Amino acid sequence: MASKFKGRLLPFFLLLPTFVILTVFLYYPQIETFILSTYQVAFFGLRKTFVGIGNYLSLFQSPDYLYSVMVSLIFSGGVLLLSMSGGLGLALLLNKKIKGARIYRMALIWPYALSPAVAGLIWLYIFSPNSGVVNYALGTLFNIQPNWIGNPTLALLLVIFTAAWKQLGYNIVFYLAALQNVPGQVLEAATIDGANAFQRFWRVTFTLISPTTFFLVITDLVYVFFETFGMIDIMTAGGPVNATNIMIYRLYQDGFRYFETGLASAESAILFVMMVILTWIQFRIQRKWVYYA
Amino acid sequence: MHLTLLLSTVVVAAPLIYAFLGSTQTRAEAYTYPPRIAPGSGLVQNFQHAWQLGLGRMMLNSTWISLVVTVGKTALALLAALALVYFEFPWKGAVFFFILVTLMMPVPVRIVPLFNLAASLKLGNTYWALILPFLASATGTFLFRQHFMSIPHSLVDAARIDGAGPLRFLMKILIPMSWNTIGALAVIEFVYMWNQYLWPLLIISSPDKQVIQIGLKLLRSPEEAIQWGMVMAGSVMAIMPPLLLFLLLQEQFMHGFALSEEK
Amino acid sequence: MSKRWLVGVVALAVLLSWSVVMMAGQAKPNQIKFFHAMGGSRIPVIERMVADFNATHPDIEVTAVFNGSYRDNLQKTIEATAAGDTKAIPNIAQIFDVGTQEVLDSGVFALAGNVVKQCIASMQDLNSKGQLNTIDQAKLGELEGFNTSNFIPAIVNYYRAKDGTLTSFPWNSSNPIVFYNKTIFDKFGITMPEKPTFQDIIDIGNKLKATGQFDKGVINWPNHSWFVEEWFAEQGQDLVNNGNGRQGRPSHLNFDSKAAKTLYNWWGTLVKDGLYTNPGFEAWDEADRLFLAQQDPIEITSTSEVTILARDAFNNGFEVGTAFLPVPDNNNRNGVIIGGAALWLPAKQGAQNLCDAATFSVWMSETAQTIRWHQQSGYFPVTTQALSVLQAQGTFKARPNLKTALDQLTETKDNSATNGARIGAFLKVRTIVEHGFESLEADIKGGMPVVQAVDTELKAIGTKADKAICDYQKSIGVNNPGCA
Repeated sequence: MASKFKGRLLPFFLLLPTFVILTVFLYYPQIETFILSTYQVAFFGLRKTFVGIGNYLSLFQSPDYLYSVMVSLIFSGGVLLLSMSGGLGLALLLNKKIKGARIYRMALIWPYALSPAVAGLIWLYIFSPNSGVVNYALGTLFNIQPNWIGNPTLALLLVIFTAAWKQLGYNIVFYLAALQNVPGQVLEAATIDGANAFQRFWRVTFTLISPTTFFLVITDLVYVFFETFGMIDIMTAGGPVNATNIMIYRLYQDGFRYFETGLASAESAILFVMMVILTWIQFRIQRKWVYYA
Repeated sequence: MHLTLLLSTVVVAAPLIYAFLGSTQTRAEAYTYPPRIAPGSGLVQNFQHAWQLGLGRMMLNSTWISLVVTVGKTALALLAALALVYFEFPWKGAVFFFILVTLMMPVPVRIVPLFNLAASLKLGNTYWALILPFLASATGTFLFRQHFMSIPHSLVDAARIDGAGPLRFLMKILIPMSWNTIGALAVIEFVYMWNQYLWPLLIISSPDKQVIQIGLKLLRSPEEAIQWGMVMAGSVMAIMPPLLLFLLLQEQFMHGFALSEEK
Repeated sequence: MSKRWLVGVVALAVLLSWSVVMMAGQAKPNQIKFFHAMGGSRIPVIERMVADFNATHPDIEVTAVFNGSYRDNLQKTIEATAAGDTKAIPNIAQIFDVGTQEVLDSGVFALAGNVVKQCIASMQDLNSKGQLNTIDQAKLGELEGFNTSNFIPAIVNYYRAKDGTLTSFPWNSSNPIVFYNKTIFDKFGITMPEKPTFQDIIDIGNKLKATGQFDKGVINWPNHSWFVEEWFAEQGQDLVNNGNGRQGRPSHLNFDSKAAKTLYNWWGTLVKDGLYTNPGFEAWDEADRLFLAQQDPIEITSTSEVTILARDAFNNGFEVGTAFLPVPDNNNRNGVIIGGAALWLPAKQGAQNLCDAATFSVWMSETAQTIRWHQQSGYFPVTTQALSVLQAQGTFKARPNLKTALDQLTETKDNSATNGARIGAFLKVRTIVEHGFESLEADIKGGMPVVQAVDTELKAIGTKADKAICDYQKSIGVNNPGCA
């Protein structure tokens, strides 16, 4: 334990700004979300009626809401699968000493700096059903031009792909770092023991990088549930027929399009509970695996 | 192996090039079918048009708030981590927990009351509304805390013996040892602020305070055929600052963030 | 060194005092924010008009703010007014017709007629005491010259409160017409009748399809509830009950009517025969693009696009023709709803701002501005004076495409169907209708027979819409006996 500085007052002042910001802009609205969710509100407070758990009941009974929960699960499952397996695969390749690794690395990671909105715009441009280059190519080669925006399944696939594409770089960075931390001797020992490449990977490498995997699952889930809003707003606005209406987008519509602020607060509260569960899981797992160097 | 990498690189990097190509096409060229892939003649025109439609101002706005938040957040996180690692005080565990819990509160789960709060504080349509809610961060505090805890005790003790006070200690010892972490945090925070979408969409109502992401959304007129040339020009403009920062601080990002295990 | 320092200080002092004098000398004009939804090539038109207003009204500075679609603009307006302080509130907001009930319920806006009256009264009062300066006297003159009955009745009746007070200033109006690619039509020897029927469209569509050049469809219109509403009006069918929501709050969407079935069966047939291209959800831009890229030779869209479409078509090498909205039966054309938007004034902006905002709105409705707006955008001239001037100038003879819209309007019968519906939850109902079409399209493309698909989807839309209508009323505390 490093020796500490003396003083009880100074740490208070050091922490004060952080404390104030977090209380005012994070804790207060968070608590208020729960309170507001028990009311039915019209137009930002024009009328307020206490309904208790009424909003929650109507959400859980609403087929549209349950549908958007399902869409969110499919969306996140798809993005995680694509982005993490792709990330791991590419990290494995980049981990070898090959020429131009740095250039490849840069070229593969850059979408991290891209905003979801711009990613959405660019892929919308490419996949535009009637004027995009993909459909032109498909039309010429195979005489099919799928309606990427108008067909519910295809639209969902398109946003899954776009979201996974953008997050790929992030996953690569972390997996690469984790792979570089795998001690060579352990792998050598495994080889000596007669393990083949496949076994070496699954039983040794994958196990050793599993903390990173868990970390990425959590971070990627946060990304998929919350940060893809701009992408969805630009590409599909939740459609067609709610096929890409993930929970956060639905929340936005209910809260700020139709001004059902009580209902939207209930939706926020549900998302918060999900976050709590996720974070709790992450910290339980982390405590078992992570150590401070 | 090279083939896979090459193919993946194409899938990942090609869209940027294609977007850039798109930004060179004039209105008429963009309307042709089959779509043109060759560069068009409208590059300067498109960028100028997008800039004049308000994107220029919005680039400035985004730059301003991203810089302010990055600097502010880093400063606050450094101070908080200093307090948490190098001081003893009652309820320290609770304070840490207090900060930790905010990881579960991304913007959308508190968006409705946050909006009402900003409104009642008369912050509607101001830079402050964009900056204040983001000035404190659990991520930054954790990163620095973890980093500080990994600094050898001998150094700390040596500094204490020298009689340095905590702030001098921060400035002269800790910060010079933390450039990787600071660089990594700078990239993360700048990109995070630059890419903000939902909050500016709701709280900003005039173009002179709006951010670039929403500016892009507004380039699409709802009632007219979308002008891809100009929209792509706007997109390319919007990509440049975070991309440049990322490329510049790439090494710090890789080492400062990724190699230290999680938060 | 110290000499340079001294010079520097003196220069700074001079600069500072000069700027103080400058700032004090110029009273900054009153800042007025105008929220609108007119994007693309209409933005410069509006900005030039605003600049002209600012130049002729030196104590007011209007800034036009584009917020996206009508939905986006309404959302932004309500958010900005909810966000409280006077700095953020827009002073004038362009709200579309279907938002009328919702904005009346929100209580956020002042009634235009009352604002004008109050401003005139207070300024006349100051004037009689000799306290009104020249600039304000000019403003008073403008406001006094404003006359509600100058607006075209079919348009202004949409924007009257129950007691006849004007709620907002009608600004842009349009109705849907057919645009067709005359060059292609001529090439294949096909003619578009001036007043086509549903059957005409099917026949023409099949002829075009037979040429083999249009495999993805020949006709499109954005998947937007507006068109459905217009087709209801053409068939004399109220969209909702209780006098189309004007005699009392509605509780039922009339999607079980004969008119609904006729419309959707026709639409479904177009989908099934591969004649209709779906540009997307409220995708006005994509519909235009399909027409301009000559992928679809026929587009039904708003007359407000006339100028833009004609110009872009010309640049793309083809000529545009127009026709009336197609109907089931030419002997029973009831007419169209005069859709569009009006300028509303939020109440909480303070008296001075209200009067300046009213001045701008009144100015926009003056004959010169109305004519200019019409010519540069394609929206209807909303005042009878403007209309007479344009007719006298022979505008409509010279531009037959504009005449189509005008004729369609003048031939409209005045009844509850064409007055347009008043629904508080109109926005939600529109979304439900539009999603309903997407489901219908999916059903038909999946092989379901048109009649069956139409029956299923109409029922689904009706049920969802009725619930939305009633839920809205409940949330604002209205007890409608018609609602379950």
